[in-house]
Amino acid sequence: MVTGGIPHVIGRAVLVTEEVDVPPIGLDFPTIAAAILTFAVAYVLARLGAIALSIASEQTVRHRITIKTLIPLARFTIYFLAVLVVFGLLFDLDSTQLVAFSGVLGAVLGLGVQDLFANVVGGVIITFERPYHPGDMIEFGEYYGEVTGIGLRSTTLVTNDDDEISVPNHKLFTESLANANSGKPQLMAVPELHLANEADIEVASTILRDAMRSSPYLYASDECPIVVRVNQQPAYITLRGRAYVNDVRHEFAFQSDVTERALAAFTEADIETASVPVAIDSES
Amino acid sequence: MIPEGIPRPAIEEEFQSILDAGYDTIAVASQPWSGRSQLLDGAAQSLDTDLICVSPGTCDEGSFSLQTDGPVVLDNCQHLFQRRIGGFDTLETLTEDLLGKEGPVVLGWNSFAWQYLAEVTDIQRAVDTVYSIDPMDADAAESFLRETLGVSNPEKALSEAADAHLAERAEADRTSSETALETTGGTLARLRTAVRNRYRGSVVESHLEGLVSDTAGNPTAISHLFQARTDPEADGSPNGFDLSYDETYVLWLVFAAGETTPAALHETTAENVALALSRLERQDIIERSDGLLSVRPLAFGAVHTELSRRRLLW
Repeated sequence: MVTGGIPHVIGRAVLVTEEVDVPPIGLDFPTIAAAILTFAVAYVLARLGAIALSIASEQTVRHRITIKTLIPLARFTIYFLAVLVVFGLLFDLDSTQLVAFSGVLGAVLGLGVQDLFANVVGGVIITFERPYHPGDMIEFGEYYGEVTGIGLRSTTLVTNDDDEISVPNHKLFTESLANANSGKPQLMAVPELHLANEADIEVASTILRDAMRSSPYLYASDECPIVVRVNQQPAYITLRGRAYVNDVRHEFAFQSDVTERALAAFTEADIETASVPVAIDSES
Repeated sequence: MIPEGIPRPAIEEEFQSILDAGYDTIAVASQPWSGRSQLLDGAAQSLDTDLICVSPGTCDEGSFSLQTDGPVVLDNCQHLFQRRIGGFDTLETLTEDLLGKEGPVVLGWNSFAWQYLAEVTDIQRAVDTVYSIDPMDADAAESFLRETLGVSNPEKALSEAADAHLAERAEADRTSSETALETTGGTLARLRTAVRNRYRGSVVESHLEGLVSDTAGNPTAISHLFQARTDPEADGSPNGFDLSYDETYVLWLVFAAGETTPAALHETTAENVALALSRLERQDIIERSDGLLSVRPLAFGAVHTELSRRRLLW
């Protein structure tokens, strides 16, 4: 290629060329420093926002889950704006650079970070589609716990044993998931007791019902009734209670409270409980 | 239900019309100290019978049955149950009695206990109608304060008291600060007071509404808090609570009963009642009188807010 706009005769053809200016990518030191500073500011803002919203959410049970839902939204918005600002600093958004960058990005993702990208996409989809919210009690695989954070890469659960489980976001779209409260502050708890076949079922049911409706953790309404179900098993009878607690964090306290008081009342009323046989895994 | 804005004396007229409507059973639900006893006393006179007040501990005395003949007016029916296993038996006996009795039967309830019992028992299904004495709004509170305390302008009294309090705070800030900050036109404290006075118009309209909000619309609490805010020598309301969930639950038991005894609380909950009561008394939330525990009127609104926040009130 001949530059300079000077006509150059090659045989019978006249090749006329023009100089093409390709805008440089702004990788000079001030621009890089500004990009780093932008990400640093975004990080600080995202952390402060998450802390402020967490503190606000703990002041109220009724709105805790709603406020916690804002945390990943705020975090995502801040980081997204930071990326836009950095793009504006580093690149002049003309089509040539955009195509070149997209090609490089696609190659990088295809080669090495597809899982990370899938997790980030999963985090975005979770944030906007909300299959669950911070504060929800979800069951995923073998884990059951409260969602304490939805990050761009993973979702954090805290189990009843206070274990913090980090679940990659993309897994939540390939495996089944159960949400116990779907954004509501109340949640159903199911205390279960076992009686001997000779036990007085009517008295035992009344005791279990009283235990649930007198619990300090109860939440009751027309939509959240108290129910006792009786199931006959081969060697014993199962009483299964269903009631709602006023705060998802009271689920296990409610079950303990109801079970403890009901068993004490069973003893006082001479109602015999049953020992439920536990299946033993012969391979263990 | 009473529409907003009607003065409280009209409650009696409205309730009389319900009595005259011929219902067999009527439940009257209201906050404590809101005039329910006077209303039921008037109903008893109207029905030519005696008003029976159920006392704390009645639940323990075995089965409670209604008189077989004639009209019945009962108040404080929340004492017919205890929130424990076996504590609903007396109430269930009452429910069965109501089904077979021809009225009129008028039953008065603490509204917070009624709200709970309506969801966990069949009592609401056993009555023909429920009459609720609503909490006061700002207009009703103003009329109430004029009539009961003889205050000609409650709004003005609250506003002047608030301004005086702000001026005292500003003076205290000025004298206690180690470094005097002088700005053009005066100190920062005087500037803050001046800014507040500049927008006094919007603040004046909200003083009475703020009083109603801080007392959950309870007439007795409104009266006490009004006096506390306008009289510098009067006791103040508690400044926030520091309670665990278990202690807040004990507070609910006292709040929903209106009045109760330590013995009744011990029977109801396995929590450390003595410790909980001690903490509640130290924080000026409850008080004892003749062996009975009750929420302090000045703390009524704050207790209502705290119990709602903890979702012990639904």
